[in-house]
Amino acid sequence: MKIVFTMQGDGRDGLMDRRFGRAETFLVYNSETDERGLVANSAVDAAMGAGLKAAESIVALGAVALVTGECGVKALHALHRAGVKVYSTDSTTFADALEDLRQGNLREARPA
Amino acid sequence: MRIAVASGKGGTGKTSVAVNLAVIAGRTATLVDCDVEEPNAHIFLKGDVSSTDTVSMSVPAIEENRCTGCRACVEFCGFNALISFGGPPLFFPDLCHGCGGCRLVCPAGAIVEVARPLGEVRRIDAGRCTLVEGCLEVGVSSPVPVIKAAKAAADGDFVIYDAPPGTSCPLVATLRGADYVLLVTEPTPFGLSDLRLTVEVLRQMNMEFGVVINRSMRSESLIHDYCHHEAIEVLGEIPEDRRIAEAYAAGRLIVEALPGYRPLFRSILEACLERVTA
Repeated sequence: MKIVFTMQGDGRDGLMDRRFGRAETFLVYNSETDERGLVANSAVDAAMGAGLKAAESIVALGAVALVTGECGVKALHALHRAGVKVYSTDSTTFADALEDLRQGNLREARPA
Repeated sequence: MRIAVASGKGGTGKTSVAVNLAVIAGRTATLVDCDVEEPNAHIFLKGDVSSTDTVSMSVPAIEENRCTGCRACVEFCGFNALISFGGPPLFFPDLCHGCGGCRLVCPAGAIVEVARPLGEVRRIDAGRCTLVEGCLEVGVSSPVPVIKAAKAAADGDFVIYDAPPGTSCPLVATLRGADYVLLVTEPTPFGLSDLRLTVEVLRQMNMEFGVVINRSMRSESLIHDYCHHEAIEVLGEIPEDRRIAEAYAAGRLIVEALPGYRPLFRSILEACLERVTA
């Protein structure tokens, strides 16, 4: 299963970005093979609707879940429609967020 | 003739200046409240609503049985109001600017247009002048279409636009078509900071403008120094006066509660008129 994490910069420092649509990089983690790939977020400079554009991108990447700090209501609604689970984390690093996800410590965000 | 009253910073006295100028100008004047997110000129210019018009925007509705999922509309939309996960697109009305392009590019004819209400424009006969008030629907994010509709509803020869605060699209939409702009500011660092930003906007728009200093204090030269340096004319100063605050708090016009201020507002109005006709 592919899980997307939102990362600062090019993602190599392993630092999470709390934002979803405006995060520079998506880290695509494959939970079966433990592989990690980095993909630039093409929505980062969108004038409007960055979260929606980013939602479209991660669905196209085949993600089944998203781990980020905050996900806006429109993107949350769109991802819910696409069947992607959204998890909120306060962790600042990918390693901590992944560990929390594995331990089942992250809360799932759902549209109101 | 069209005069816009603007400021950048909120709470500097735009509406106070605008309503008092409108009343000084007299019965043939029309004041347009372009602060459609929270119109408040009606507090000072009371009267009966003579007409109400709904402002709406054409937005797409997708006929899912005709949609082929080709993404032509999704790729066309510059505001990301349409997205698709493969099937028919999802539409997010908040991001839509109503351009209608999605319907034109749809090869399957699967997009029709429906009206989305954005707000209202009310015409109020305030006796001393006419008030046209734009009022944005709760939950609508862009006030621009309602501002444009309110301005279009003002048909008099002498019109004052009471602008919203800020320096972004709502201000620009208000200023377009104005012959002159009065910038109301206050002698505080916040007032000066936002005045500078607004002056930058006006200069980019090549507009004529002058400054009115509200709550002016003799001991304070902040705004005068800036205006002198930038060669901006100060058309008037409304002094810091507790009686003005009291009249305002009671919903009364300065020129009626305190007639001694009538000459000041008349001179500001005349200065505007001279600058336009010069």
